[in-house]
Amino acid sequence: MILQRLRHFLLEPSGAEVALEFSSVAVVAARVEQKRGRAELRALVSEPLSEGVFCPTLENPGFVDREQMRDAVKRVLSRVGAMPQARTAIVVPDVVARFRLFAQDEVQAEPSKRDATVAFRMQKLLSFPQGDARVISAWPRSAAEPVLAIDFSSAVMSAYEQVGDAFGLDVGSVETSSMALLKNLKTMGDLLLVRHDPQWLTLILTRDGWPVSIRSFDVEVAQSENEVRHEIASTAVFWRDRLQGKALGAAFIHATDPWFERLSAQVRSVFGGSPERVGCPANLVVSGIPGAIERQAAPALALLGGGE
Amino acid sequence: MMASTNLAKRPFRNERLPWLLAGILAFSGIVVSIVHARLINQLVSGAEARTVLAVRADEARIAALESDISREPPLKLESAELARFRAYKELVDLRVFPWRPFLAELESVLSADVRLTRISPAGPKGGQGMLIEISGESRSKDAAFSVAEALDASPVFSNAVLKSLSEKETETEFTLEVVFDPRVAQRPQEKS
Repeated sequence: MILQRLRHFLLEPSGAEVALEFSSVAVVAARVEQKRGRAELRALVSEPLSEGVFCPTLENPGFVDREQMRDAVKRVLSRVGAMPQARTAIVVPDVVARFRLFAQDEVQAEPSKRDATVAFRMQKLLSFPQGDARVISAWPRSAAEPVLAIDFSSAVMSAYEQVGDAFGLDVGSVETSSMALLKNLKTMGDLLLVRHDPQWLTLILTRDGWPVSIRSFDVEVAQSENEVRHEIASTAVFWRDRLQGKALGAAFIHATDPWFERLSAQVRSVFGGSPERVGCPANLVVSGIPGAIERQAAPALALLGGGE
Repeated sequence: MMASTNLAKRPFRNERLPWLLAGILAFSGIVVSIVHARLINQLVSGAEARTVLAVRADEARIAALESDISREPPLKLESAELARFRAYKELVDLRVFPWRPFLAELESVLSADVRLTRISPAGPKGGQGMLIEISGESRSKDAAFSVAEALDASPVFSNAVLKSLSEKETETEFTLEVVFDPRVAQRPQEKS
């Protein structure tokens, strides 16, 4: 126990103090303070964005109206009281990265060559210059679970990090919205996460906490209710037929309020059960924050609650 | 999900261990420097040299004293003084009862039908030895007499006197006094 605490104290990196989340509906910033070993939410601010101001894609960070984006980021950071050099986590849209799952025997290699092997396998899928691509991979403990690979444009990711750098923040954590939410969801058995934004849609199935299916869609699907319904139904078919899914342990949806009701009904109709909203991490002390804002900030809060 | 999916160019690191190691190294460096500085200060201030000089002076004094001792004439004692020292030595020797030669001699003179119950040294007997009172039990009255005779016959013992004799049903209790001369007893040992 003491050895474990010492290892944690000396080796594991501390969490972020500030989180900055970019979505097409708002820029959200949150700040926590550590009190007696627990993170306490001190400030949470959301700045709505006009439609068309932020349109991210795989090849473009999506800052269409740079002035408005900069002002929004400046306002939220100043209102949460983010100090220069604050340890900062950034939540980026799912659509700026691509997820892929590989069976372990497809990318088997020595530990030092694993990332290179995964990157090689993903090369043919890249839609931006190869020299600009970065690939990271996450390997499960069990040999039966797939390897999660994420590829993205380093130029696009740098654009988000530069936003933090421009305001003097120490950016050390960048997560896609869905991956941030998954850090807060530790349900055993099968779990469905639906992350919907007007600019993208991600459907993730996890089994015993590890992703077994990730499907990500761009704005064309995300803004069409029929397409969304179709993709949710396809995911359910895949889950039943290919993953032998019987009953979901839990289903979570993170979306704007109008979309939540629609997605909830669709998930209920094809998966059964009753989907919930993703809440804030259990180990994060939150009080006095309106529920609507807290719900909206779930990905940012997941990175502040020590969800790693 | 426990896996790291951090896309940051420079992920957060725990810098406590490097800082701790750097701190320990810096502290060790400072301690070594202080010790070093003190040693240098001692050398520069001449404390070391003074200690060496003091040691050398002590050694020279020891050598001079040893030389003086070797030059001293051997100690000469007057014959009267020597006799007095010998007398003192004999007195001291008499005060120490020589149990080992006493018991060895006693064992050689005692017969198998006698056993002793008490030996009580009573002190010097006029410079001739030490008066010893011996109590014991024998199988017969004759055996008790034989003990006194045997003691008398020994060169170490003299003046054996049977003080009491009491006949019981199976044994005879006796008490005798004898003079034990330790000088005679120790003589064969000195030779050996």
